[in-house]
Formats: sequence, C-alpha cells, structure tokens
Amino acid sequence: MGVVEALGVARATRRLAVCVLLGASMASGGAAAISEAVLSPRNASYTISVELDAAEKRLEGSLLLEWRNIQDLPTDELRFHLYWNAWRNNRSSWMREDRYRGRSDRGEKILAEDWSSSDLESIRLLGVDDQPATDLLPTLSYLWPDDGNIDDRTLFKVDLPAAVEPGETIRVEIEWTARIPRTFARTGYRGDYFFLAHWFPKLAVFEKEGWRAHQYHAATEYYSDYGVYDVSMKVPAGWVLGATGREVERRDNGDGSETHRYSQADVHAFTWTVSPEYLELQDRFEEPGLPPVELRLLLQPEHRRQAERHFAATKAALKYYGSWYGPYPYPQLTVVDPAFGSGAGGMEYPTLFTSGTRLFNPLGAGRPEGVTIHEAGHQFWYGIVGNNEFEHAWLDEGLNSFTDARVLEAAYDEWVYSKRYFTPPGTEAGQGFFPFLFRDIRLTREVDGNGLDRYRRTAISDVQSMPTWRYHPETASGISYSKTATWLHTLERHLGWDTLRRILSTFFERFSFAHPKPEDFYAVASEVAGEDLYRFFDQVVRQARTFDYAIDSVKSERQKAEGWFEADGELVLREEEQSPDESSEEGAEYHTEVVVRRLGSGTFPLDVLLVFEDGSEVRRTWDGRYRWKRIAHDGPSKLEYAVVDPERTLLLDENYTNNSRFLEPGDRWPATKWAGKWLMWFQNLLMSFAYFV
Amino acid sequence: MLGALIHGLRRTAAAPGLVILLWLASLVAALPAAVMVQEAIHRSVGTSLARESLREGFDTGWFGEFEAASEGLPATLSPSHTGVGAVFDALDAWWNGDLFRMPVSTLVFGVTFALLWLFLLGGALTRLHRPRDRMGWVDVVAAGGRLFPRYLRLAVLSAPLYYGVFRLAGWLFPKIEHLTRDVTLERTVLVYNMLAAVLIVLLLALVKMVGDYAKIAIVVENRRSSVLAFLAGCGFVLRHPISTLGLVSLFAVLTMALIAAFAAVAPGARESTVVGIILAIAASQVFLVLRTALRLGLLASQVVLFDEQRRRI
Repeated sequence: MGVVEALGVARATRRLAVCVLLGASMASGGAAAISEAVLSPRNASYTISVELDAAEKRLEGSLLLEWRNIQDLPTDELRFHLYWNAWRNNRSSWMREDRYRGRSDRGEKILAEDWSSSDLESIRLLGVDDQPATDLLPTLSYLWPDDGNIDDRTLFKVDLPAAVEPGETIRVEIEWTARIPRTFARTGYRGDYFFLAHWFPKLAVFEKEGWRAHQYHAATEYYSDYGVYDVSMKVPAGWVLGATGREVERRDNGDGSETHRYSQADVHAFTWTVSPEYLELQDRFEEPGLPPVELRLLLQPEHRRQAERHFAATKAALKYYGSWYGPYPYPQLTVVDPAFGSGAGGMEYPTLFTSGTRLFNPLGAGRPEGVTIHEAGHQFWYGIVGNNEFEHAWLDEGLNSFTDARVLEAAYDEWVYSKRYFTPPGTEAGQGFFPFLFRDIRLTREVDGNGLDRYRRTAISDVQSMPTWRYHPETASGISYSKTATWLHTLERHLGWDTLRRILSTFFERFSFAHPKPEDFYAVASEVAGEDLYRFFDQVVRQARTFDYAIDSVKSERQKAEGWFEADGELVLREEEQSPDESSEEGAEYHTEVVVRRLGSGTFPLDVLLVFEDGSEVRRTWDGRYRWKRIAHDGPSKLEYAVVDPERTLLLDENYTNNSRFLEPGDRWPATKWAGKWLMWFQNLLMSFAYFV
Repeated sequence: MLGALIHGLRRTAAAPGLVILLWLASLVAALPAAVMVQEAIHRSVGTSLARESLREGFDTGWFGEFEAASEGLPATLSPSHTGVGAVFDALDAWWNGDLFRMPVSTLVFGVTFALLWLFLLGGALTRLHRPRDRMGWVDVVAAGGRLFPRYLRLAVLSAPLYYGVFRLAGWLFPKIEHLTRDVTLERTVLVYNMLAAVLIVLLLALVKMVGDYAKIAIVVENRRSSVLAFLAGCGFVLRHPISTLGLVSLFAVLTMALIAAFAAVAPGARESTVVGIILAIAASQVFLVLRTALRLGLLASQVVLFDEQRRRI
C-alpha cells in the first residue's frame, strides 16, 4: 500500500469513526459522562477522533463540530484558532512577542524537530438531510487582526455558502494533521510524555458584536464556547491516559494500540495527556454541603511520597472555592503531575489541571500546594466562569490568584521563604535541585500570596482595562495576576470579607457557563457592596494610578504658654520663664502635629493613627483626596509614633515603609542585625574569590 | 596523608595569630561594604514601624520596597543570607561560576580581597613551613611582600586554567540539558548534573592544588621562577595524585562537617535584643574563623606532605 493510498484509507477510517461516534453519542442521548442537567448553552460541541504517533510526535485527527448560532445576528463565515501554529517558526506573533519579553535565547535552543504545526487537510460544511457537503477549504484565509503579521497562522476563517441565522445549527467536519511541539506554553512532549492542550482546530467565539477572535499571543490564553466533547484517542497500549471528562470506553485495537474515549459536557476545551510512566491514584473529595468529586491523580513515580499533598491541596481548593463561591459541578477532577522539565506544569483545563513539584520539596515551601490550589481554583474562574482570556485575563487570573492565596492561608499553617541550591550553570538562580527552608522567615498572604512585589514592578506598565493581548508581554502577568489580587485584597479589607465574598459569589452565580466582561464585574460589585465602587475601579483598572501615602512630619511638644496674649483688653508678651507651673496646668500638656501626604496619583479613604507614650491612641479618618493633611491633637502624653493606614487596608500602597514614623530617631540595631548577616555572606563570598588565587 | 593532615592541623593550631590575621583580612575587606549596606537599610526603614519588624524578624513587605529602590551592594541583600543560607549562597556561586557574574561593585571587592589574601598567603606559608621559627607580624607581612610578585604571576598562570574549567562547565551543562531533554525523571537528570558537578569541582580542586603546591615550592625550595614553580606544582600533584587529592577531600569533608554544625546552631532571623544581635554576628564570625582555620589547615597539611615527599627523595 502506497503512502498516499494509506493516508486516504486512514482518513476514511477516521471519518467513519467520527460518524459512528457521533451516531452512538446521539443515539444514547449523550455519553454516560454527559450530565443530565444542562449547565451551559452547549453551542459548540465536538466529536473528535485522533491518533497519536508517539514515535514521530504527530497527531492525525478528524472532528465534527456542531455549532449553533446563539446570537441575534447571522454570520456568513467561521473563524478558527490553530494554536500550534504559534510555534511553527520564529516569525509567528507568539514567538516575536516571546523574544520581546526577554527570552531571546529560546529560539537558539530550539531544534528543527521541536517546532510544531497544525495543518488542515479538509474542512467541509455538512449538508442538511441528503444535501452534499460543501468544501470550505478553498475559502480558507489566515487573519491577522491584531498586528498584521502575515507570517502568523494561528487564526483563520472560512466563508460559508450561506449565512447561519440566529438559532440555526451547522455541522462542520475537519481533518487535520499536527506536529507536536517540544513543550511551548505548557503543551507538547518530552520523551514519551505527552501533554496535549489546544491541539485541534478550535472555533472562536461569535458574540453579539461579531466574531471575537484574536491571534495567539505570548501573554494571553484562550477563549471559547461551551459544548459537549466526545473524544476518542488512539495511543500505544498500556500507556496511562488522562483527559478532560471521564473515560466512557476503552478498546484494544489489537495492533499494540488502544483507543480511549472520553466525554464531558458543559466545558469549553478538551485536553489530554498520555505517558507510560504515570502512577494512577484515586481519592474522593467529600465535604458537607458540597457535592462529592472523584479525584484522579496522574503522578510521576518519583513523586509517590507527595501524592497525599496533591490530594490535600486539591481538596482544600474544592472546599474553600466551593463554599465561598459555589460548588464544583462536575463529578470528577484529574490532577496531572507533569514530567520533569516538560514545562507543562501549572496550567488549567476543564476538569483537568497540571500541578508541578520537584523531587525534593519539603512541606512549607509553598509547592506543590500553591500551584495545585491555583490551578484547581481555575476550575471555577476560567472553567465555570468563562471570560475572554485574550482580552480580560485578569478576570480569571486575578480573581483566582486572590482566592488561592486566601485558601493557602486558610488551609496551611506554615509557608516560609525557601531557596533552591545546587544550581547548574545556565539555570535560573535559585532554581537548583536541593531546597532549603528558612523557617524563621514566614511568608504572608498580603505580600507574597498576592505578589505585591510583582504588582509594584508592573503597576504603571499598562492600563489594566486594555485588552490583555496588548499588554507588554514581560509585565502582563504582573497586572493580570498580582495587581488584581492586590486590589481585591484591598477591597476585602475595605468592605469586609463577607461583602467581598458575596460580590464574588454573586458574580460566580450569575456568570457560570457564560462569558462575563469587566463591566459585569463592576456592576455586580457596586450592587452587592451597596456603594459606588466605580471610582475605585476607575483608578485601578481604567487608569494606572499609583498609591502612596506617607507620614511627612511629626511633632509633639509640651504646650508652652508663651507669646502674645490678651489680658484685660491689652496685649501681653508672655515668655517661657513666665509660664505658670506646668504640673498645675489642667488639660492638654502636649501639642502634637502630624502631616500626612498623598504622594501617589490614586486616592483612597484612610485612617491615621497617633499612638502616644502612655499607650493612648487617637484615630482620625481622612478621605485621602488632597495632597496633604495636618492632624493636630492636644493631650496629656507625648506622641510615640504616627501611622497612616494602620491596618494596611490599602495594600496597593507601593511604599508602606513611609506610612509610619516614630517621633524619636531610632537606634541602628535592626539595620545592624541585617547588615551583620549580609557581612557574613559577603565574607564567604570574598573567600570564594580568594580560592582562585 | 592522615599524618600530613594531623601535623598540618597542629601547625595551624600553633599559629592562631595567622588564622586571626587572615580572618581579620576578610572582615576588614568586607566591613566598609557592610557599613554601606547597614546605612542603606537604616535609611530605608528610617523611623518607620518597619524598623521594629526588622528587629523582630524579617519583613518581606519592606524587603520588596528596599530591593526595588536599591542599587549596587545594598541590592545584593537577600533573605537567604540568614543563617547557613549565607554559606550556601556563596558556595553555589563559587562552583557554578556565578561569582564572576556578580555586580561590578562586588567584583571590585572580590578582586581586591583576593589580592590581599595572596599577599598574606606568602607570609602564612612561610610561617607554616617553619613552625619552630619565631615570626612576628612584621616578618609575616615582609615574607608576603617578598613573595607577592611570584604569587601574583602564579595566579596569572592559573587564571586561564580556571577560565578553561568554567568554559568546560559552560559547554558541559547545556550538553547535559540537551542529552536529557527527553528524560522525564528529575533524579536521572540530577545524577547527570551531579556527575558533571563532581568533574567540575574536581578540576577546580586540581587547578587549586597545582597552584598551592607551586606556592609551597616557592617557599620550601626558594624558587625564583613562577613558571618553574607552577610546573613543579603540576609534577607534584601528578606524582602523588592519591595523597594530594585525598588531603583535599579530607578537608572538604571537614568543611562540610563545619557547615553542618553551623547550620545546627546558626542564628535565624528572630534575634531582637542588642545582646542577641551581637551574639548572632559573633557566631557567624566564629564560623568564619574556623573556616579560615580549615583553609589554613589544608595549606599546612600540604606543606607537610610536600616536605615529606621531598625528604623521601
């Protein structure tokens, strides 16, 4: 049999398989794993048959897309993403932007076989009833709406022979082949390990304004409609496979391969992974008031002893996200521990996510717990609430980062600073093989969990309300993740957790299985909080305002009855020595003046606290609008220190050190203490230099 | 080998002044920089409440602000300088070559100290070679000054070899990364990296041994030519590979034991009283004194070994 002939037979077989699967699926009223309750519009459903050539690192697949136009306007075209073409060569927009964010050496390390591709063999619009199919391939054209890069092949359109009217359903059959990348953007292979995400031609989202489709960018992720996925994957027999949804069928093909069929409804993506090495472990999440969830963990064998930590972190996420926002609606969740060096860790997909750990990873270092909670949390923010990650990534990444830090704080006692040693040359500093925990240095949710440092570095690099794909690639995540988490935590401290939780749970409830926009979030927030929060959002999202309040000066002096006084209608100059006996003076003894300043462009109402030597306190509120405010107080005690925003409500304040000031100049011992530690390091370093002479 | 080790340690113990001198050299060289860092920290915390949180422990919030605003030496401050982390940081930078990618200000201090160390080494080796001679500070410094030009030439001769080792490391580790690009288990990759690291550390030790025995040859045999001394060092190491390498290995074990002991007692971040802060600084300096003593002990043992082998001939 010739190659061309073989290819033709294979295609025909796959096409037949798709038809059989679709027929079976429809005949049975949907696969077993498809839930009875319809949770989403299910307007973009896929039946896919794909074969993995593990040796050649290739995929051959065919799919049947059923798409229903749920908007009020017709369309005479379809737009699709071909994500894997982002790594077809180094001229794609993704690769150009990747270089732009300072990873210029990546291209040099890429070998010819590392690049990927996704090529359409055919695309046909199936006819209704007995009408023949229409070949759409001749109408295919690539689109570059974002940057006009004609070398980019991540987005294409095909013209339809007739417009799809509102409410109308069409069926499109696609055959394609793909070369699997050596991992880019957490998808690809390493040896016999495969993690395959965004791997098939995927329909973009048709919204009320028309097609909402962007090219694939280095700093953005994905956006698609909900549907039913029924996917059959042919892989080498005996390998362990994990995928979105549940396995509904497994067939031994008798040729050394197996076909696994997985199905899941009400999701907007389908991801799978396969490897001969995975350890497969099961557990079950049970929590009063929440539905049970079957947990499946695909673990690297060398991480066997960390299995329970993965389960515990996943359960913590399901528990807290579930009770704070709403229950996880699917019956199962798959946790994937990716292969070492695969670069596939820390990514979310519907009902499946990747965590990420290391061979040596003591409890307290924050991993794999932090990443597991974060990615499990994405089941809620991204999976269930499906915002457009091309344009408003902060809606899921930010809300999720805020929440995962909250869960980490609630579920774990110890989170300390750690550093990894034995760092081979060329490896990023501190990413060595052996960790060391500094148990005296505890990390906190507000600073380390939210990523306050990243927020500080990126605060003004972009206006947050801009489409995410327009962000500078290097600082995009700082805004989407850290800035959002920081302003949400600020809101939590301003409004109280109960109010913020109600805001988030209301937003979750209203936009589950939908595509909310930032305006929806602002509206829900103001409505639930019962106050106009638009001014706050204007400053932090629609503008890149910076926040910095400071104590400018403090003064606290004993009241002196000196100067010009009126006595019996005449002006009298009273000098200090003429002052009456101070001990006999009634009322105020000390006059205290504190000047607070607003150094940033953003404003926020704050408290100013004056603490006196006798332990008494005076608290004043300040709307924080004018550039400065003088706070005066007369009292019996001398000021010890003053602090603006004593509870640190405004976590967005980029310099909190200047928020407080003691009246008396302090000693140098704290500085000496840390300079002493630095001295020790520096002497060791100098002795290392001396080694070479 | 063991005899050389014991005799070397005895000679070092009999010359505490030398240990103190070399330790003081590192302290004096580092102190001005530490004062700069102290001033930068003090200026940053000023009279704010952060001062108190730094006194009680470490404040990651303050540190982020400090780091963002710092340049030069103060910018090298890291929470990992706490306790034994300071030693690990320096060791990691030593073996993987990050030492030479440090900021210019650090490099200037490093090179200056290396020259000072080289200067003192001449005197120290002379003293260790003649343990019964009474050598005062002036004699030690005079010997250092006399030998310094030759030692400097030796350092220049060693430099290309060290450069070659780091070039090899720069080639080897990416090669390992490439060879293991389809390996899915970290432990396998770790083994490859450890083997490569052992090779690199071994080569660094080899170059170091050649340099050390060349310096010893200059002192013991009063060699005038640095080149011939260097060749003598090479010859000695090649003729006695087991004893020379064994000696270095024994001292490496002793140094690791010292680091482990320090890790067990090293002050963390929580000392807050003046006494506690002083004791913490003192503890770290005691560790440095002992580390210097071990460094000197190795040199003394090498002198003994060199003398023994010479006498046998």
